[in-house]
Amino acid sequence: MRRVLLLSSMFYVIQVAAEDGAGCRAPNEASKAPDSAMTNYKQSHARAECFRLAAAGAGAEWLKTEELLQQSVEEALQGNWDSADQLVQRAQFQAETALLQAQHESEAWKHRVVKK
Amino acid sequence: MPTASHKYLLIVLAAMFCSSVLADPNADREAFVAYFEASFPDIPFNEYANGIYAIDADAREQWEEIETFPPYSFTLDTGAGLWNETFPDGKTYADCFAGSDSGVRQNYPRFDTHRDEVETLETAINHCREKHGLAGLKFNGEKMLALTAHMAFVSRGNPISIRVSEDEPRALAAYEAGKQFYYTKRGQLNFSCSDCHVTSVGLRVRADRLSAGLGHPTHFPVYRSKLGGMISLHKRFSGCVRDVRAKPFALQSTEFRNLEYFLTFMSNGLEVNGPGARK
Repeated sequence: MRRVLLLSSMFYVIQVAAEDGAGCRAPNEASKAPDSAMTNYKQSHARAECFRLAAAGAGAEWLKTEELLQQSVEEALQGNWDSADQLVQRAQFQAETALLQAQHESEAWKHRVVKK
Repeated sequence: MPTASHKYLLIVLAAMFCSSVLADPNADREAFVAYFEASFPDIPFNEYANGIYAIDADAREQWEEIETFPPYSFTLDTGAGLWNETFPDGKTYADCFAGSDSGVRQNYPRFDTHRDEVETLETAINHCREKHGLAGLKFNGEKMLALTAHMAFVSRGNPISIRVSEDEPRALAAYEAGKQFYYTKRGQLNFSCSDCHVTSVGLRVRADRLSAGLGHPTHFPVYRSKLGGMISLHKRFSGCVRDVRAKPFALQSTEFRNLEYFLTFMSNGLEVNGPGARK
């Protein structure tokens, strides 16, 4: 039963994150005000981190996703918002792709099992 | 009254349930062995215990030279010393491992029905220590590697005898989870264990040839020349997962223990020949 619940919750996370991103995407568009760079960055970072955690929860996190997010924080702390945002976008792309990979592999692995 | 769509759903659910219940580890193992026998008809079954050296003749020559003066011999001395230590309550490791005089490596991993999880040799050692009032050892630490090397050495020649009881659904579920891990693509390079160690065996990855999945667990822990020290099977798992650019699981995590359960069951019948030496 525990395994069923675990699998159900995993698929829920994958569905939420991979299909429409409702669990991770920010509700509002980024503000265009110049002094809101930090606010925009924080939202982007939180969104990417949400996807990363979902990928980790599915046991599918890629090697460098967390490192990219850490690098983006370092860039943001120095006020390099463009660079920080690019790193966040790369991290989010990795995490979303990892989730899609996990979703696909939840069935695809069966076709690779060696059979007589 | 159930509608047609309800009936269809019930049939699908029943099929899913039955396919899970009817998982057949013995049939999996027979198919796994048959695959390699068909792929490499000149290699006898027992040779798979030697990993890549069953396939790569040049590397085998070097390995045989290395085995003349095994680089793990100091580790074996340390392991024998640790094995004979007495616990604070007067007991020893031998009190935890029945039949350890003739070796127990071949029986691990096993499914522990009390803990409801796969118990590897490393976790069994730590369970033993904790039972007798000592802290557990680090899973890839020198002491753990020395103890497991010693236990593998004493077990040399014993055929791997992993049990996955089809009457124990939790053991079967752990086996199935390990099997799923083995065949699942992961990481940025989108590779599964089987992509390298089943379908690409003998091909090169850079300068190295890929070894067969059959026989992988027989010779661990191994001395790795490039690292200048011993590593455990789970450390090797971790390295493979990193190599495909996925985030590795912790040593002795549920994922890696289940993987070891599946992979070692596939090698049933091959002789324990650890500790080993690898490049």
